[in-house]
Amino acid sequence: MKRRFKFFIMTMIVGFMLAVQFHTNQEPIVRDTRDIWELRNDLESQKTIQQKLFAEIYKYEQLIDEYSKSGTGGQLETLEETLADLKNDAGLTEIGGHGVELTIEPLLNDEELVGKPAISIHPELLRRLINELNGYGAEEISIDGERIISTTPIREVNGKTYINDEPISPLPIKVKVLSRDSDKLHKEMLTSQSGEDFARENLLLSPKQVDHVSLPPYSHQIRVKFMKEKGET
Amino acid sequence: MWLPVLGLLIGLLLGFMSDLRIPPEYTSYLSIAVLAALDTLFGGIRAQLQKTFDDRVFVSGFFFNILLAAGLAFLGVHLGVDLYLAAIFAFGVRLFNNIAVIRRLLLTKGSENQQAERN
Repeated sequence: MKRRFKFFIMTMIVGFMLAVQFHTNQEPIVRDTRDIWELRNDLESQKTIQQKLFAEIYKYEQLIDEYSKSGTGGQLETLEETLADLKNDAGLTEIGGHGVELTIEPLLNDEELVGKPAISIHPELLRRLINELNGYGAEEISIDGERIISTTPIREVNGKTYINDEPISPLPIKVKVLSRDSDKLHKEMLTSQSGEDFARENLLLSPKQVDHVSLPPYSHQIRVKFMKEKGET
Repeated sequence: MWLPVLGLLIGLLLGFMSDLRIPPEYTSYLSIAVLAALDTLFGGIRAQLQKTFDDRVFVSGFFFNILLAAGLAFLGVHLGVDLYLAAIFAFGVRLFNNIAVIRRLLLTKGSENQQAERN
């Protein structure tokens, strides 16, 4: 009887351990704890996304319509229009408009300090500046006459900063930004974090609102690595 | 025969009712402890069938194996060597051995019973 009782205790311990192990491995059920306002907000944001997608679908459907309706000449025209649009989007054309011009210059222009090495702008500073500008609604950016596109490299080679594989010129340099609401962008840039970061590197970032800025096109070849030409259908 | 099964059921029930969870970093210890316990349990059943069962060996083996396995896993974690694999391997082999022996013992018992009935 005693022996059986021991077996009983042992099996109970084993069962307990098995159950705990099973419990631990089971994923806890994640409950949806959003209240009605959060749900409404989420729904709203999803609806905005849906609207955007619908607008895009509409645009492309119209494009298809134009392709199929018009004759060969018209088709060619539409194709050329699309190509021009795409080039515009990719930053291969010169573009101008309302915008903000930022000047980067030495913060303390001590002319008596002859022999101080020339200040260079660290790539990380420029990257942060571009991120901040994009955050404030910049549409197109060019730094020192180099158009910033989605694949623009900004890096340091032998102590010199290169944008689009071109070294940036000595200070001061100009950053031109195109924006739909340049007034707002200008105000944001007056109190930006980038201004502080540049000041820490002994550089002054001064924004100026201008009626017309002209951004040069991207002058290098764009390499497309991960896409292939679609064959005849 | 029904008492161990009842114990297992009560243990499972207690475990599920308590809603106890172990931090994820300790799950390997628990799993190895479960393996060690199962090994000892089957060892006990085999000894019972072979009529060599000893209470003290069984109880001490049960706790000692669990502690040894968990300790080995702990040491492995701190040495950076997967020592718990050694415990899993050893217990796995012994588990299979024990179950095979139990199966053979039960089979011979069954055939003996049949013989006895025929006679």
